[in-house]
Amino acid sequence: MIHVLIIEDEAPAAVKLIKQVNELQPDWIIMATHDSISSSVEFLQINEPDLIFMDIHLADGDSFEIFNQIKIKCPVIFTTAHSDFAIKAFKVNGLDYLLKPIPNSEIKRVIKKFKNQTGQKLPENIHTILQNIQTKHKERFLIKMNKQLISIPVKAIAYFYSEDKLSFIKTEKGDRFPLDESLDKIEKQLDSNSFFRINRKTILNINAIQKIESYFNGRLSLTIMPTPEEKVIVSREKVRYFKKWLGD
Amino acid sequence: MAWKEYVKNEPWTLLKFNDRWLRMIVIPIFALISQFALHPTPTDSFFVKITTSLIITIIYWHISRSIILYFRRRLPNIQDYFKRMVFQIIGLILSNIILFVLIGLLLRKTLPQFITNTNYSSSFFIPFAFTFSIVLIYESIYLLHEWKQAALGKEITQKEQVITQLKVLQNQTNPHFLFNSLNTLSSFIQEQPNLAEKYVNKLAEVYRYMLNIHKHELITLKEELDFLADYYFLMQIRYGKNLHLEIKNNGLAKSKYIIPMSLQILLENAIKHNIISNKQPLHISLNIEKNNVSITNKHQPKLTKKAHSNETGLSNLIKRYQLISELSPTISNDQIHFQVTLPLLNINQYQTS
Repeated sequence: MIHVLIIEDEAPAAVKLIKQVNELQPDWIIMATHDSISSSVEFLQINEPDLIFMDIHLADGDSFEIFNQIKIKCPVIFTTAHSDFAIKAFKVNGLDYLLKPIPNSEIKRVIKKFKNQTGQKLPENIHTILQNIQTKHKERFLIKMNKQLISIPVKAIAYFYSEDKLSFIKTEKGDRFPLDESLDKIEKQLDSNSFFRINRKTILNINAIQKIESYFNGRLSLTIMPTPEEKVIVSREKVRYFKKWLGD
Repeated sequence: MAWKEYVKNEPWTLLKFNDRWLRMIVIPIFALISQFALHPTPTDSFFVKITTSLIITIIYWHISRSIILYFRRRLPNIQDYFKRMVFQIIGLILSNIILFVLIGLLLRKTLPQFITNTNYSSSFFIPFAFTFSIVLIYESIYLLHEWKQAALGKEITQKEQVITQLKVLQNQTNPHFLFNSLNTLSSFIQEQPNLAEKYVNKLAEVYRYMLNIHKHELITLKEELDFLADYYFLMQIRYGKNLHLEIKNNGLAKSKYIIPMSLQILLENAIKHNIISNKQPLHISLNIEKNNVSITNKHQPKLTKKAHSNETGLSNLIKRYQLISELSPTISNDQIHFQVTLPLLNINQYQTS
């Protein structure tokens, strides 16, 4: 007999899900439904379900927090209404998810999959996977240049810089491409582990840094590749964060 | 303290390029030419002569460069360009005269063998011509740079405008579409609960796509076709057998790119502007070729035109294509058939080393 836990903060959605599961698997027992991180954690400290359906956005935060607080041993199927980058990344990592509203065919699919792989646990590194998924960043930039469309992977970018109010990409190979977004907007889409806004005019890839020297007024002077036309200075208010960024 | 950074950083920003190599190459060339201006005394070694000439050229070049920099710093706006050029030219002429006199005096004192009165004064135009070439080099690079920036800037403002228009348009159509869909749904929710559920699921799919799509400038044809299928399902329920869409896929074009929601806009337009009735059903055909995709329908316009629906969707689509590609959609209407053809786009992958 299979014991199922449903974590879902919207009552009608929970009722619907219970009905769908019951219809397909009358022998399964729905242990409980919980609508928050805290109540789910409390429940899981005492009980051990065989399968969990877990909504991502809960009453008191994102359900990923549950994994930070308690070790879950059984398979988890995530449910959500939004199909953004994060959700697409689930499949890559072998985690299953259902998009709401959930069609019967989808419920059938995951139940079948669950039956075929009973005993299969969540990946050991679920914690890091979820963390990476939560902070999914832009991977490519689309550029229009010389009547062509070019897709540039973020990995190949040494730095972003602005010049006379326009933004540019400089690649590792030294090619320059114009970009029609402000540095402020670009900064938000990038992985802060690899990229850092060292001053008003530059967002730097950590791999582009060759040498760091101290400079006047407590600032830092950088040697970066490919060499830009202007001297690269880490502004004073950024120095502390810059050092922290390098240290992480 | 700050002056060092000022000197190191500022000139390149003002000149719009790093002129280190230009100076290293062109100054010796100028020096080599201008040494002929010195009095030809074969007894003197070539080395002394070329060194003197080199020093003079360096002085001329850098003073001219400083004058250019000074006025660029004082009058940085492109609107002041003419004013700046006037000041710059006056400054350069004055500096040239002063330099010419000073260097002449200095030469007479130190290396009198190079200098005869007639010879030196007749060579006034040599540094003058050089100064003129220096200005020409710096100004043409500056103007080229400004022109490039202006062209880029213009393109970007245009893009921003279209994006704003688009958002406004989307905000208008979404509520309409939702409202109509809910009306359709309410009409059969009790009689056909299973179909109603399917309908809601498809509606959710369509909205999910619409909510996510604004992040993408282009999307693969395959993704757009999947979305179109969901959208067509909703329309099909509303209009029944009076609406018919036929998809002819002739090409291996699924990996090509298209503007998101473009096919849906065309389908929506065809539905909005034409008669769809039992007597006059609407047949729409979608043709996928190698490099384009076209939507064709029989031209059977409604007798009453909708007030403010006049092809804003279509003209917006054309604008979006213009921003991203040289290729543009084409529209043909021979009063029997109405056809819009959209080009399919390729994206080149940037080759990383």
